[in-house]
Order: sequence, then structure tokens, then C-alpha cells
Amino acid sequence: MTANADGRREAIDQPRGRHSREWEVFVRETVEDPLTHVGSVTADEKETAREQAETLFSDVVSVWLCPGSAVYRDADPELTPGESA
Amino acid sequence: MIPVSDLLLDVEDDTGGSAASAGSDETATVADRYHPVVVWHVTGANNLDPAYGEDTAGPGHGDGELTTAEATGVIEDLAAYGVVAIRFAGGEPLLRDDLETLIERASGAGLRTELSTNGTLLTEERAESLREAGLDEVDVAIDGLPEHHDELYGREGAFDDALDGIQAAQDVGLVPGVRFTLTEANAADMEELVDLLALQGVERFRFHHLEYSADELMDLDVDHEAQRRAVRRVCDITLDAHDRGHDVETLLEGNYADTGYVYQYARDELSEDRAEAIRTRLEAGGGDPAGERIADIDYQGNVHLTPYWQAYSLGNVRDRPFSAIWEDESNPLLAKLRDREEHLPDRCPNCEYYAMCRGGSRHRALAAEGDVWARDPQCYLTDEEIGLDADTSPSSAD
Repeated sequence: MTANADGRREAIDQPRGRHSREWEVFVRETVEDPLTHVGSVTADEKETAREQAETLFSDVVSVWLCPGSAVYRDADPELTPGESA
Repeated sequence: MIPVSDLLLDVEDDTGGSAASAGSDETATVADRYHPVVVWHVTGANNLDPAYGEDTAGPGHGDGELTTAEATGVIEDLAAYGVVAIRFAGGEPLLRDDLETLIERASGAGLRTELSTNGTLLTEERAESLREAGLDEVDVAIDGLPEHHDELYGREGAFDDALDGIQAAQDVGLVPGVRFTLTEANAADMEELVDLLALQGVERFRFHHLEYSADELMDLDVDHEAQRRAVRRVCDITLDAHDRGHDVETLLEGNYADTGYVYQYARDELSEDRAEAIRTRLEAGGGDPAGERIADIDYQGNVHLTPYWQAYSLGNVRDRPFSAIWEDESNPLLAKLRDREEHLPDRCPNCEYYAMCRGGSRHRALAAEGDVWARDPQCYLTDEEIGLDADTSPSSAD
């Protein structure tokens, strides 16, 4: 991620998911636990993404999915690779 | 990775469980949970159309490919974390113009560098620039005799072009090996192909069992009996070449049931002592490496558990460094893989070869059975072979 001339950081918005859609996956392991980001699955359809996520994380109490393209990502440049890191 | 020739011929081990080639680099360190080998698909572009392997972006580069600046940033992180080797793959990695820059950065940072290519773009000029950049090892994919290979790669002449690539690498002083993916279509080609390539001066053969990420790929897979025959062939080829005074390095990848088979082969064909030495070494190797000794990064920066487990990503290096993603055991799946014994099917922890195999491929279980913790469908060892009797065997209980 790099900074614009006016000092604003550019969002991390490059495509992900190659030939299909990427779905960010969040799980809550127990009712007391916070919702945690646990990566992403690749699937054309929401239903397929749901099946994949629930198979991978079969013993959690909640699974949330969000299309990767709907996520606005803004992170400290230290976290991202490249010349600004 | 199972170093068959080193095991059967009692060659000293200096790389242990690394995916890096055994026996060829005294400075290589052993891969482990904190020092994995990273397979990096640096581009989605491919000049051929292989019947299996990673999804490719076709002839052009894929959307969102990591830039040179991003890629060198990733290399700095991998080196600082302690990754032992990077295997540059694709698509076809030679389509990436900055490949030499990346290899030079990685090599300069002390990482072992390996290249996995279809060989068709490996000219003498390109091979020389790769050698100068510090490339340690190159493997060319050849998946059968010319007719089968050309069919699998979707282009007539691909086999001959790959041989030219091997020759070009040899001409500049690289020591190219061959990577052979075992399928039903090519299993019978193995002996003739090894003889042919040995005459070409190839000394290292990686025999890779086909993994699958989609149901249709299973059509290309070989059945259990054919798998056993293929592994036996690899062992026979190794000893036969040695007997004829032509030592070749042979390795098996992709199915840790092979550890039990190689052990049994040594017990039957060599000696009890050799077999026990093989057991000791394979147990030290640690079995299936997913989530521990091997990691994968795709061309968009997604981090995967293995090169074949592409439909799930632990995270993306554009969001945070690989090292942070790899360390994050708040991910329940990663944590389970690293503590897999209590999650595996009952058959595995009771198996005589568990310490050599550690349950085989979890991704294959997921792809075939829809359950990460099901039995690896390519475990071809019988209950009797793995020391389960009829009274305790879960698969025999009903």
C-alpha cells in the first residue's frame, strides 16, 4: 500500500480469487469468543462458499461470510509488502 | 518428500524433511514449523494448457499479480522469518520478467531457491541469467513419453521443447531434475522415460502423486493397486540404476502412505537393518507437511496450506506479512493441523507407520470425502500391513 500525494493511504483493493470469487470467512468458536477472521474461501456462489467454510470450521458456533470485493481494507503500510513497507 | 534413493542406498541425510532436494546442498537446513519451504506461484500466466495443476490465467498475467516491489517485500519477510527455501512455480514462472530479480533477492538473503517449470521457455540465455541470479535447483515437468506428455500439456512438441530446456540448463552448469506427476495415463511410461532421460544426463527424478482440487481431476488419478505398482517401480528403478552403476536421485512426493510401502520394500528386498534405519529417518522427517513444513503463496498473495489446497486461504500478504499469517494459531484449522493426532480418523494413530505419515493428505480427504479429518483416500496400505487386526480395525469393525 502506498500513500497518495495528499498523504491519504490507498486502500488495498487488488483483485483476489483468480477465476472465481473470494469470500472472507469469520468464525466465533464459542458464544463468549469474538468473531475472528480465519482467511477466505474461493467459490462462485454464496451457498458453495458457505458449505466450504462450514466444512473447514465444523465445530464453531458462528460462521460469517463476506464477498472479498465488498471489504474496504486499510492497513498500516508496515503490514504490507512493497517499497513503502 | 521421500528421498527414495537416499533411503534405499543409505546416502547420508543433510536436508531432512525439507522439500529442498536431499543430499545436494550442505548449507540447507531442515524445514520445520518455523522454517517452512514456501512454494510461490509467482504468476498465473502459462504458455501451455496442462490437464492438471494450478488454475492458470491463460497466456496473460492474472489480475492482481504481486508487483516486483511487493514480491521483494515478501522475500524480505520470508528471509527474516527463517523460511529455508522458495520454490518458484506458476502458471509458468519463466513468463515473469522479473523472476531473476526475485531469485537474486532470495538467494542474496540466504534462501535456497528452486524453480519448477515446464521447460519450454528455458533457453540457454535464460538459463544463464537464472544461474547468475543464484538459482540452486530447477525441475522440469515431464509427465510421460512424448505422446502422453504433449496430450497432457495441450501442445504437440511440448516434450521436445522441455528436453531442449533441460539441455540448455545443463549447458550453463545447472543440474536440472525432472518432475513426473503420476497418473493412470502415464504410469506405464515410467521406466522407459527414466532410461531416456538418464541418457540425456538427468540425475534427479521427483515422482509426484496427483493431488486434486476438483472432482474431475480424480479421473486422472491412479487406483490403489496402480499406486503400489508405481511406488514399487520407483524403488526398482532406483536399485536397478545403482546396480548398473548409474546412480540417480529419486524422490516421491504427495502421498505419505509411500513411507510404509518403502519401509516394507526395504525389509523384503534389502534387510531388516536397512528397513529400521529407513523407519528412523522417515519418522524424523515428520510425515505430511501441511500447515507446518510447507506453505504456498499464490500470485495474488493468498497464503495456502499446501500448493494444492487453493480453495482456502489463511490470509493475504497484502494485508499482513506471511510470517504473521503463519504464526496465527487463533485460526482453528491451522491449530488443528499442527495438533492433528487427536483429530485424525481412528485408523491413523493406531497405524504402525503413523509417525512416518501423520495421517496423509488432509486436503485429499477434504476433496474426496468432504471432511478434512476423514481417511486419506489414497492410503493404499491394508489393515494387515499397518498392524491393525480385525478386532481393533475401525474399517473392519462392521
